[in-house]
Amino acid sequence: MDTIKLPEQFSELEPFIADWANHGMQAQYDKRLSSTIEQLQEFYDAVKPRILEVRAYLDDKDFDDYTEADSTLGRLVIAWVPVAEAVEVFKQPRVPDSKMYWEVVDEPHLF
Amino acid sequence: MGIEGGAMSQELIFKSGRPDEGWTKKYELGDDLVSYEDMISPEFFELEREAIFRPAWHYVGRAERVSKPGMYFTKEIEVLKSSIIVTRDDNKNVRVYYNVCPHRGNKLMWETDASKEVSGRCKTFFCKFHGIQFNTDGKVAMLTDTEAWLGSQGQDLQLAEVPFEVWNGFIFVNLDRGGPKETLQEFMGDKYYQGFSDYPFEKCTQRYFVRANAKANWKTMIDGFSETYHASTTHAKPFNSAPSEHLLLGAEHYGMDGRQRVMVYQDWGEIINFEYERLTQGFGTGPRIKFPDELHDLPKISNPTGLENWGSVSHKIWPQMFIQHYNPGWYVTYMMWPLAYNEMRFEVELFMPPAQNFSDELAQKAGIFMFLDAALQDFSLLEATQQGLEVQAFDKYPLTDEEVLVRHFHQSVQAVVSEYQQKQKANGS
Repeated sequence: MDTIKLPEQFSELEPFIADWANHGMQAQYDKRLSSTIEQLQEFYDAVKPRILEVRAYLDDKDFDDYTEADSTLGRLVIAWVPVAEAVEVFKQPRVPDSKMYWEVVDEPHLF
Repeated sequence: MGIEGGAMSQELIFKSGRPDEGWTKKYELGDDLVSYEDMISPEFFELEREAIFRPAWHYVGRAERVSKPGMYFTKEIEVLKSSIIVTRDDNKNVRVYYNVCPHRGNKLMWETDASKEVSGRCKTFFCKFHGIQFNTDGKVAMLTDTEAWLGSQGQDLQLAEVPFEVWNGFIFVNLDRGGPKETLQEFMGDKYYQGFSDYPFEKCTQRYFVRANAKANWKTMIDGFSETYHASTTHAKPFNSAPSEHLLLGAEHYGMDGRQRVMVYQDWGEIINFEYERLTQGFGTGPRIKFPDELHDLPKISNPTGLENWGSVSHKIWPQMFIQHYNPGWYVTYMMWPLAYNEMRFEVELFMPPAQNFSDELAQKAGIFMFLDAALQDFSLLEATQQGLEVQAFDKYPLTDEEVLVRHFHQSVQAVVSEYQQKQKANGS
């Protein structure tokens, strides 16, 4: 089995793959809701300093040319988004005064 | 646009376009207190079902969802106890059928749970009951137990067609008994029907579709999205604002055309309040990345005052559809489907042009995630509205001048229901 799970320069983020590199907005948001704010903060802090580098690295490639490691990296950073919004905006996993989340019925999958 | 930011909330002040005499007076809607009996009465809901929803044209999906022959999706329209199949036939024409097998009346296309919508691509529609198959043109493709049919009753089976029109790529259906009383153009009004021609909706091929049910009347969500006044309170966190003695987020324009309503407000996209916004270029109002110019150049109907820094325009299309554009040129549709007097399904479809690279995709996802969190703040209020109204602590409620579209909407609902009742009376029923 291939042990390289992220492009080499981002290998420090590999411990987060299992929990966070989920497919699709529903799974990515559900992970936010099922985590504590401390867990969200840990993931947020780890990924945030690398976002601009990830953008520069992946922007050089067409989606069709992504390796499996590239796709995993992309998903990890997309999954960071709802986490960052919880940490920065709401300071808690759930949108205040909401009891549910949307059912995501359909979304494009580019990589 | 610069990537640095950090403006304070007091800069989040939109110019209100309120005319000197006020919106309410301008549109001559009167200043009476308003009753919301129309949202808590089961009897009134039954009237709405026949007076409003039966004769209406209903948006059910974009034509891109059936871009190739055999592609199909089903749509449940509970308020009219209906289910339809939208498809494209082998001659590449859009076709709409009732989702019912003409043999024994079974629902035709469904999986696992008959009340859930399905979509896909198929050669024929297959009935799970006796295995009869129908072509995309509605005619029988394969009959089973062919010797046992009486005369030609088997071969003559045909799916029932639903009247539909495709308007700028939006597929509308009409489920009135005996066929539509009005064309879509007559129903919408000329100004609206013609107002969007040439706008390239079809360039926004990336579709995100989310939904949720609420124990609230369908009009509560329409009212919630009919003013910008609530935003600085409801969305205080994502917009870094706060309740204020002054109107922080005003609308540039509120307009009405028959039963249609429009709301326009300015752009706030240059203000960066959060690190995630700086790092992703995604905001609560969507992604802030380069879109094709033709998506940004709105037709006159969407920018009636010629606002240069337009931020958003929301068209409230009678009775329960919104089309809302956001700078730089993506759009969202809302459908508020009634399920009961105190229950609704809210459907949100967000349409964006294809991302060119990862940064585009990240900005889109960040914008959408935040947009949906903000919409969740609106949506989560609805059950509190419904429960509050049902207490009946008050008979009537005031509306401010910023809530002029709420006033217009409830007046339109009352007018259409009254007209229906008078017709019923004249017909002696």
